[in-house]
Amino acid sequence: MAIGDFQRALADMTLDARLAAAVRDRGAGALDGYALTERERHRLMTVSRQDGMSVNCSLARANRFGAIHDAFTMTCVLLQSQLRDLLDELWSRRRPDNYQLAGEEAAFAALVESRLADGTLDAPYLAEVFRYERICWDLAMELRLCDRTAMEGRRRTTRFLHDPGALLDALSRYQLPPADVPADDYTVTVLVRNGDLVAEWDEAVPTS
Amino acid sequence: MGSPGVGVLFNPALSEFVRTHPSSLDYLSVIPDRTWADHGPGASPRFEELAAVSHVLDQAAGSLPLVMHSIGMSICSADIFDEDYVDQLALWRARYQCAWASDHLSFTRFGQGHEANAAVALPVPYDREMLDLVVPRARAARERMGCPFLLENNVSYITFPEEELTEAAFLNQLVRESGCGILLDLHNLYTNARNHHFDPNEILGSLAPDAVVEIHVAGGDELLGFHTDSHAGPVLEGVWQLLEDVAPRLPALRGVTFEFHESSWPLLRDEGVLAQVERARAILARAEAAAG
Repeated sequence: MAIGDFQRALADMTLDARLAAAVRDRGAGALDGYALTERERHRLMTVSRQDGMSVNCSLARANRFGAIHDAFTMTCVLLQSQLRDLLDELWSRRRPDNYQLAGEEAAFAALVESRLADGTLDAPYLAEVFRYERICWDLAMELRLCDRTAMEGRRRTTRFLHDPGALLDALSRYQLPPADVPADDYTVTVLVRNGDLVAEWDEAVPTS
Repeated sequence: MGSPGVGVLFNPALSEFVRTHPSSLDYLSVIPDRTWADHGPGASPRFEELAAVSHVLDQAAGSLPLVMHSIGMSICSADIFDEDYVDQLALWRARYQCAWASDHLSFTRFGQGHEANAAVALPVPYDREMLDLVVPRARAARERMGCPFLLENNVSYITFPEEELTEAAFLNQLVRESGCGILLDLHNLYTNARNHHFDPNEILGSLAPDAVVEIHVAGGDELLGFHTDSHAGPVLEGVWQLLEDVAPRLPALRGVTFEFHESSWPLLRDEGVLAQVERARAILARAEAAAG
């Protein structure tokens, strides 16, 4: 069905700005993988030269990033300039497979996890803040499926190596924490209280 | 048919508003897809209800009629017409006794075998071939849901050369051949007209007047030199003017719905939403007076 290939090509150009640029720069040769009529090929080459194609690409990226940002806001703040490359890597490997864009957060989390594990992703406080947001997200996913009262008191814990108050306070305001956040060993508990997620931890006890 | 009403499109920021201000609205428009997790064709169970949001809507439905505005049908997809999804919409429609249902005249879903998603609603060329694809689907959706089924005119940042039909001619034929109605999104029309430099009144003057059942009004903002359909903030003056112009000419109109993105809630709050609702209501009152 030609129209199916036309739509696949347009969607692929929207999800991958490099393909859109290749169609713009190389013309029909960049569309060889699609079974297109002459009119469909002409239409795709025309839209590849329109500024609106960049808008489509940007909106698709923004929509995909929205779910990731909502779930891993603080991780995104800490990643700073590494974030764009990480998203490019993620999205070059996988396309959304669901109209609700489900799975974007899980795929992002899996990539961050693997890159932290192999040491190719590094930023101050990143590992502990990511682990924290990961358990928050897990709980939030459970919470949306059940009655609020059914999960009351449910909890998960994670370990921080720096003062969680200082880290979470700065990051919740989209600010990078200072470089000298006190180091110590903290256990942070995230629990469901009145239908919301609440984080608690013991304050470090001064040693002097 | 009674006078058209005014509603808002529900988003999570409105949870408290719909509880405290039900009398300010005539209906609540809801994106049903936000009330379930869809695990995809073949999954069992495929659809899982999101209890927290359904609880809010169950409460709202006690004091307000609901209408539905789905986002996942992708009715223009060449590869996919998801009948299980339509069945799920029909179940949801029956649960809340929605007076009408709507979706978008665009595609997001594509791919044979392994489904993919474009992550943004993409336009289709207005050709006979597309009409032949959409007409039987719109008819099937209307019959399955057992209520008026509307399709929303699309926003498009690109334009296709050599289209066989104008947008108005395409919509009019779609309505005539399928029995569906039009959800006329005036902000989409405003956005297209502004970005592509045409007079929106040309389309409004060519649409079959009795096909428009619902109107959407919204705001937007700028990206890369384009006006976008971001639903940011209050309704734009240019959109209000279009509503003022067109409302007296639409005998089948049943509702005007204000849409905004939840990130605009701090800007709008209760007062801002109520102001949009009241302004729409005043325009409808003037339209009714003008129509006699």
